[in-house]
Amino acid sequence: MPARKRTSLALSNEQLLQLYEDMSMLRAFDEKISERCIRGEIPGLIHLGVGEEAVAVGVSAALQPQDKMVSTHRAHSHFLARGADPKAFMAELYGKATGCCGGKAGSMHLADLDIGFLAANGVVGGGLPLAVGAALGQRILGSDWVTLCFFGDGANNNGAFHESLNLAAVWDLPVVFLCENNGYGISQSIHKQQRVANVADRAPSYGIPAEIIDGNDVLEVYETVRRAVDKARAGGGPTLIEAKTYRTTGHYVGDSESYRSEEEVAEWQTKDPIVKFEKVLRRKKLLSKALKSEIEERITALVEEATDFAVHSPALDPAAALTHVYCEGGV
Amino acid sequence: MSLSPRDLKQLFRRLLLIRRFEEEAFRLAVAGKFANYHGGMGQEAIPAGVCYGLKPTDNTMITHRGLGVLLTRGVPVGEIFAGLYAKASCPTRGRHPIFHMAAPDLGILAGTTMVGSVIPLATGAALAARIQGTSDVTISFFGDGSVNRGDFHEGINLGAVRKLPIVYFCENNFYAKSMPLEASTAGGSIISRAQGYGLPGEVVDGNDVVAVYEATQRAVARARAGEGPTLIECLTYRWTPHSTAGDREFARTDEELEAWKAKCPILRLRQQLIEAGHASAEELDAVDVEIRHEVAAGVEFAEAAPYAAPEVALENVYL
Amino acid sequence: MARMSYAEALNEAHCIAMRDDSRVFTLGEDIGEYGGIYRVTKGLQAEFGEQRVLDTPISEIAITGAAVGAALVGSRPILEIGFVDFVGTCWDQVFNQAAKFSYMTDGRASVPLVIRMACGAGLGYGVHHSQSLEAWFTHVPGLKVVMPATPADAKGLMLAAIDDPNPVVFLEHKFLYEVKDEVPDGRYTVPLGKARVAREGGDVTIVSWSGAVPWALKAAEQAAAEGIECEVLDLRSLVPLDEDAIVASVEKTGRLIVCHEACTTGGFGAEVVARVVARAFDFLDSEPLRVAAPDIPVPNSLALEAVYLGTRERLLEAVRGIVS
Repeated sequence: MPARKRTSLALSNEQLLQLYEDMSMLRAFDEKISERCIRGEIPGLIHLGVGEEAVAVGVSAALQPQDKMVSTHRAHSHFLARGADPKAFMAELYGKATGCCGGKAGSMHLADLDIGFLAANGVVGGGLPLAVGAALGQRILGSDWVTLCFFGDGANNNGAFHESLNLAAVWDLPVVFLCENNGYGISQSIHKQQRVANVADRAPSYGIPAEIIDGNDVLEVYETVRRAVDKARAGGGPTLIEAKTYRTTGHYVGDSESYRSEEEVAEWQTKDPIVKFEKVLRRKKLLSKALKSEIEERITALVEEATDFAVHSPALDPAAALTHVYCEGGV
Repeated sequence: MSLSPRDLKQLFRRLLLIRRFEEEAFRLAVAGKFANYHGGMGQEAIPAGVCYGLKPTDNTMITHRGLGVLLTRGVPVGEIFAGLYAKASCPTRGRHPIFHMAAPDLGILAGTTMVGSVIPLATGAALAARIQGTSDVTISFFGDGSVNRGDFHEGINLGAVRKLPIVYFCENNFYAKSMPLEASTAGGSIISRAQGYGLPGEVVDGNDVVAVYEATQRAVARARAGEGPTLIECLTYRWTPHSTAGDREFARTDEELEAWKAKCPILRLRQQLIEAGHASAEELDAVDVEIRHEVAAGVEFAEAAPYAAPEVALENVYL
Repeated sequence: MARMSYAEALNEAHCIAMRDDSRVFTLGEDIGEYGGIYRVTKGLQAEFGEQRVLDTPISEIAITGAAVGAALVGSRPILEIGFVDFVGTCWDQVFNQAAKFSYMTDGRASVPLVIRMACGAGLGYGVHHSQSLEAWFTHVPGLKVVMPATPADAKGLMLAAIDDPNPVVFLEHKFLYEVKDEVPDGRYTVPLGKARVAREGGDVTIVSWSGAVPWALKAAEQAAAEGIECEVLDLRSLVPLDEDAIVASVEKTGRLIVCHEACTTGGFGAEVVARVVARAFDFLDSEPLRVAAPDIPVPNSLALEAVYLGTRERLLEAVRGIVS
């Protein structure tokens, strides 16, 4: 692993503050979603990314507009960080026609091709082969995008992981595999699911370079992903990055969390990525109390606006359930 | 664990039996006597070496090229030929190709023709041995073509995390049908995958029956002792095409084939036996004559055997 | 017009599509220099190169998902899975991923993908290499299901499938690959969802597809010698289904036999019968019949496989029975 210089990829002060604001925004959205889900306003299975915001934000900051992103069931943060319209996002969770997918996708199947967000996924490991395909498509079409593929630790024991990493490696495709290792596949600790300690331990099997990083350190995420993405874009092939992180809320809204101790959760709360980054900004004297309040106000307004939009969007016409089973016309 | 001269002669006999069977089966398939044959000529040391030290209750699961295991674990020659002819006088009664043959009394669990699918199945057999508290070990055979399938990954991970009594045994003959190993398999080698599961791995000269036997015995001992699986990669080469169903071998060169033929596992053991003074050339030739008779009798048996009655097609869909 | 085999016609369709559109490419196991198990991709790699005719590892999950992902970003993949029996290994990518994109994005995304798979028995290939699983795919909204019976249709339907913006499951019968017939030159498409009247007749409608069409034609010929005129309808695609053509024929003949190679229970024949009963019940002079395989796996021995394929012989009896 090459030595890392903390600010080598030189983000401006504005960009650093943007990372902070983005992470705080993701947190605020998930907190709002949790509240509305418990109130029964948002239906379905909702997987929050609370505690993992640094990964989503660091990754997104490292991508170019033409890059593609493939996500998982825990997609809210990825989607928003990538630049999705918050109103269309909230409306989608509320199952409204104004949602980004007309209410048909919901939380687990978010997609917005205009921002290169190809697909979240309800199937663990389901996105890995799709990401390899997006990278293959890049080669066929002669474009210059890189595909960033999120997956969780739970997916790395699935056959799709094995086949996808091998294929990406043997064809040298421009894809970055980003494992958000939060230590649990639902209730199962990773150590009960595999004998090797790290997901990254598998990369040498495929001849893929790998890095293990602190997924709660947004700058480390940004810098590592940026290097991997630049390398892939330059024809250097795939990289596997394992970001160690933790979801401080349950697997889904309503999870009993009986499989882990309060101490463990509390310990990870002390490593909260937003608090951690806030300290960095304070040390740099970039974030005053006044500015922090300003940011908080902006975020609150954004979340309220998006939520109101979703709540007040008209109910869907049930006839929409029958449309777009097939795509009409040419492509 | 070390092999006596008697053991070596036994191994020689087994190697030769597989070879003579392979030759005859290939000839008959090319002559159109049966539909399709996936020959393992050149790879005989693997089934012979792996199975030699197994207990009858140890389980083996084979691939589409698993004839040698059937023979060495004791399925009668005639029955296997009958299987190739799809005649009634074999364990499948002609319903399925020989690689689906099950002979539980001989430790042969039915194989599958789905490349790689055998790995999770064999892992299940090992899991059952663990749950039932037996000391039986399962050998999961698979080819190099299997190693990029999800079944390989999921099966081996499960065996590893639960430390199951199983040996994952890769017969690497370098070509999956027409696909050369290096074009399909990232990471440089099959054995390098063992580290990704936290397993010990061993590469073995698959044309050296003694080396195959010894490596298997080490892995089986580990498995029986509760130390979990081992991944063994045996390097070998098939002398005949992928199958007799019109397979072309443009990716392989004549030089490559000749180089591997020079490493014939049977000639090697024969020389070893003669040089060590364990057997004379005449003695070994006599074994060959005896085996040729056995194989010929097997063909005769199969030729004379009846086809299954049509009703058989409708039986055993459910138990 | 040129006389060529079903496999050659498919090959020509690939050539035309790949010459016309650089977004079209094909991937699969042993499809490069080897030319595919059935020679459908023969010579393609020589013409279009290794970047557009990709030999893949035996990794059906990854290659199917990669085809879906590549389609999603705007290329036009044709994926070969050598045997439909293997689809279980990558089923998630077919029915959960490929089939769902249009719907789950409310029409914002599309997966213009063709998945070619060989189906059918008759060659002694046994339980893992002989099945006809078309009914599985028809049960998944979002997939189209195409099953050509002739070389000309193979080419025209393949070109239509490549043009289609949806995932199309293209099932080729392995017994038909070597069948030769006249095939029109150049580019043409046979629209999906348009059945073909393979033989006209006024007494009995036989609905069939893929490898069962030749059986139906043979039975019709034999029946004609006995004075029974059968109308043979080749569906060409099961999804979309040309229900109008089926209903029109049954309204004419008053008798329906659905003949397919796959097992009877849960087979697509049940769907055809249900649709006819719903729309043309009053026209039926006798109860509709399904003539299909017994509910067994496909055995290896040709002697036993013949039992599975007994539909061929039972069809003529069924025709005689339904008019008596």
